[in-house]
Amino acid sequence: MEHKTILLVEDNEDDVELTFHALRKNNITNEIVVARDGKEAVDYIMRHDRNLPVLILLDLKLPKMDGIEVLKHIRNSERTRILPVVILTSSKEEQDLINGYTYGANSYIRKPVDFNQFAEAIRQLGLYWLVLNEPPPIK
Amino acid sequence: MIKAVREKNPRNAKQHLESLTKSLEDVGSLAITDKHGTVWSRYPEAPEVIGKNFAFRDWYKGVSRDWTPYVSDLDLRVIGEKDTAIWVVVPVLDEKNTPIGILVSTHRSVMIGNIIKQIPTEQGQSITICDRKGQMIYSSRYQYEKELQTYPFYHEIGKKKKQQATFIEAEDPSMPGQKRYISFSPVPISGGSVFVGRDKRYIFLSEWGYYLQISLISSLIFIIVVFYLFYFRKHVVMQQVVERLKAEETLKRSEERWRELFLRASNAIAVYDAVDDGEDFVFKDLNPAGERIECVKREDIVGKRVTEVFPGVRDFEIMEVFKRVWKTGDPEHFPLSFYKDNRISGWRDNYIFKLNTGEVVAVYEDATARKQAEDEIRNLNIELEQRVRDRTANLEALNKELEAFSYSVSHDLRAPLRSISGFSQIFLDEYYERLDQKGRDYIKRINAASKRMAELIDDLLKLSRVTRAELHYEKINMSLLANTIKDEFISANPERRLRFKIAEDMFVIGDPHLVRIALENLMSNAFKFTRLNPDAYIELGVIEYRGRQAFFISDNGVGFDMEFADKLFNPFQRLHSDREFEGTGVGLAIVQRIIHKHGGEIWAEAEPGKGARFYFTFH
Repeated sequence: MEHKTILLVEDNEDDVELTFHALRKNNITNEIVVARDGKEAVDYIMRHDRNLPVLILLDLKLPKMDGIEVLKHIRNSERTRILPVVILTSSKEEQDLINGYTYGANSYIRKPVDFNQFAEAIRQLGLYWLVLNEPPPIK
Repeated sequence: MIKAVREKNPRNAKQHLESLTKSLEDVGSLAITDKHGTVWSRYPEAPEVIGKNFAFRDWYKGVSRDWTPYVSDLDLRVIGEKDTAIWVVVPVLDEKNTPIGILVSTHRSVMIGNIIKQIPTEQGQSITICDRKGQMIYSSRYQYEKELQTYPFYHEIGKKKKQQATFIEAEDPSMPGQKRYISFSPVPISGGSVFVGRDKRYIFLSEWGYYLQISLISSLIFIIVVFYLFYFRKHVVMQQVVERLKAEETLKRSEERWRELFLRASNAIAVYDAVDDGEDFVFKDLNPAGERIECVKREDIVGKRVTEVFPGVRDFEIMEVFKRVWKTGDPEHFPLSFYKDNRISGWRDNYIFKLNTGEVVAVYEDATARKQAEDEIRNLNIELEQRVRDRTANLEALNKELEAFSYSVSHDLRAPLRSISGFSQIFLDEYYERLDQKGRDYIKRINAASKRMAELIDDLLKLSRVTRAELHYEKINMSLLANTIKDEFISANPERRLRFKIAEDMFVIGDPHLVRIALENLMSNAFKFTRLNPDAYIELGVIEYRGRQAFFISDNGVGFDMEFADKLFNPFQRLHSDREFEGTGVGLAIVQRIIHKHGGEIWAEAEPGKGARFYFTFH
């Protein structure tokens, strides 16, 4: 059985820790791969031919290459175009929403400050995208 | 009166006639005719003779022979009682002694008779006055005033020489067998005669007594006639002189006025005569303003050609206009143009027209100062517009900066907050047992505080977004909007029991996005502060306020103390503690910003425990 990995693209250490905690708390046991900036994320996706993540959690504000650029890259490549991408960001700016959906994100979640709410959001996220949602078939 | 006669001014003439009539007794009427005998003025008024020609009358024939005063033969009047009368006519001459009209005075026989009757006569004595033809102007014995009657003894006497006073003895046709002695005497000028008849029986006096009487009577008549003629003439001459003097005076004053205008006008006035069929023009006059503007002296330029005095005038292109105005007589405006020659230069604005005398006049001003002022204004305007553009660009740049700032705030501030909240929560979860009550309490407080900070940041951002927003006006259905918000709230809070009254057909022109935010905030407040009231009632409607449409939203919630009403709209200022009602205190600040952005007003009334009512307008 192949690993169903989740790619978490996030530069903030604390946010990585919190996200991990939230996922564990909700019994989501998939392997979580972390990319610390946009370039790392793109490299990971393009490099690992066989082990494409089943879900990409994408932050927008990233060093080197920002989230939208990463998204564009993902959507431009034939191989990765159909991967589910959930934008997970603290921004509620309208422009970010527009850009996110324009360039092909599947979903846009705003990170709540309150951890309980955050954990709840992660739980629903996980439930939906990993259990309920039919993932695209990956060759 | 000469002027009145010359101008045939009936009103003036009538005034003169009226005054003449009043000053001379026993003039029956006065009329003025033109030199052909057509009446055009009469006093007393008699419209039936106005415009009628009387050249057939003896008086006209008499006066028009050599235009000297004349006493006419007896005739019947055409108006009134149509009784007998004689006419005394005086020609009206102008300064050159050409006849311009005739002054006709009517002397009715009955009027003359009244005078004659005053002469005492002896018993049996009769007086008769006849005209040239022997028609009786007056007779004490015979009927004279109703018809033209010839004196019965006229022909008899005619056989004798009538030029000297003499007398005859004749048979009296009315008293057969009786003889009458009739003495007669001619009346000079009028050509008439006086006859005094006496019954033979009554002859007491000697011949020279008769003579005396007759002479007296004829002298009297003579005097009367002469008096009339003389007085008329004198009056007319006096009038002529007075009129002439008055006319001269008026003319002189008028002259002075116009001359003054010419001299004092602030605009230059130049008068030209055309020469060479309009190809060139010669100075006739130039007023002092013109002398000043052109730095010339009138004496130096009068008689000279304009092309000579102002060599640059052909380049100035005004000569065509002069020619055109001179040929057509239509005035023209030659607008602001620049004149230049070796001597002077400047901007001129000309108005050119032609006088009745054929001269061409140019009225103009030195508009150099004006032109400069206009140019300056134009430049200032251009500068101003540039400045406005710069300012706008600045403001836009500033706005962009603010936007970037807000974005930064929304993103960057929240991250550490998330960490604080997140880890304190995890800490609480995982180390709960190892903490005592106090420890747990502290952690909870940390968490709460970070949550609060997040709320504040959110609200700050909302406020700043509202301030930055550009208005896009649309027609908004407020009733629909309010109902939508109400439904959203009810579905989010099904446990609450609320009564609503939302007026129908409420419309407003405004920015839909901002108006929605404002209404949401107001309604959310109403929902919030009625939480403690089991019978919550919220109303939204319109009233008229100072001729404008104003909305109101009222609730029967907890209300507030009006003493703090002025703090109501301050950002983060609250009138209730956090324990009572949640909130950051920014909602009303946001609403006020939105209302003011639309140019409207917002104010509130409330009573603690009774509820609150907010009024707001969008313009």
